[in-house]
Amino acid sequence: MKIKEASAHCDIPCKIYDPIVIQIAALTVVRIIDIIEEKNLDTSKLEDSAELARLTLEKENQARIVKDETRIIWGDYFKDPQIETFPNIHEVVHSIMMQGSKCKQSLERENAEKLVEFVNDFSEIFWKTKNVETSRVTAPYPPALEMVVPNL
Amino acid sequence: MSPEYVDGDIVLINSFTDYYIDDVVVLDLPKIGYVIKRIKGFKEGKIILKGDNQKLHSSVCDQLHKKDDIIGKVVGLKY
Repeated sequence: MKIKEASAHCDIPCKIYDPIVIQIAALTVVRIIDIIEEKNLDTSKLEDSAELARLTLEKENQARIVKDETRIIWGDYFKDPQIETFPNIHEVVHSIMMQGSKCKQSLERENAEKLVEFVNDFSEIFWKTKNVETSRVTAPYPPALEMVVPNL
Repeated sequence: MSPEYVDGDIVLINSFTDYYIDDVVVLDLPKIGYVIKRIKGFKEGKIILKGDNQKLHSSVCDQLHKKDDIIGKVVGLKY
């Protein structure tokens, strides 16, 4: 008699979710825009052009990290109980997606600041789902914008 | 599915017309193959699965599955 094999199909142990990755990436987008502004690069010079290209590439990469990591928490962690309690989560996530794209497309600091705000909103909701209180503090590193931290 | 079901266990399944919450079933899922899970609930005519081991996560528990994917309910277990 041949016995067929069935698996329990468990992925790797998870439940390790933390929006800090998203927050740091969003703050980095602001920081890179500031650096581009501060450096006042002369794109007629090859070296400055190369540096601008490098900074722009990294800005887009960090904006992509914001979008990717947000999607992971939203898609993998948020389930019916969390969504029923915080039905606006879809709107917040969509705002992050839209704003992340704007940050990739432009050098407007205002766009990146808005992205940080949306990410802060997302982080607050995330910690609320875990019944963890949060505080809004000034990031202890440039660009020193407001960020949400859990009161652990 | 531990602690009740662990690697190497042999389960006996039987096909039924109806399945209920907390039934342990074996499914034949597209692209995955045979999977053993517990029925967590029903939604929109489909089934939601869960694993017994809360320390582990399975992506098959995040989606709805057709009842037709169930090939049987576990009715016996040999260690």
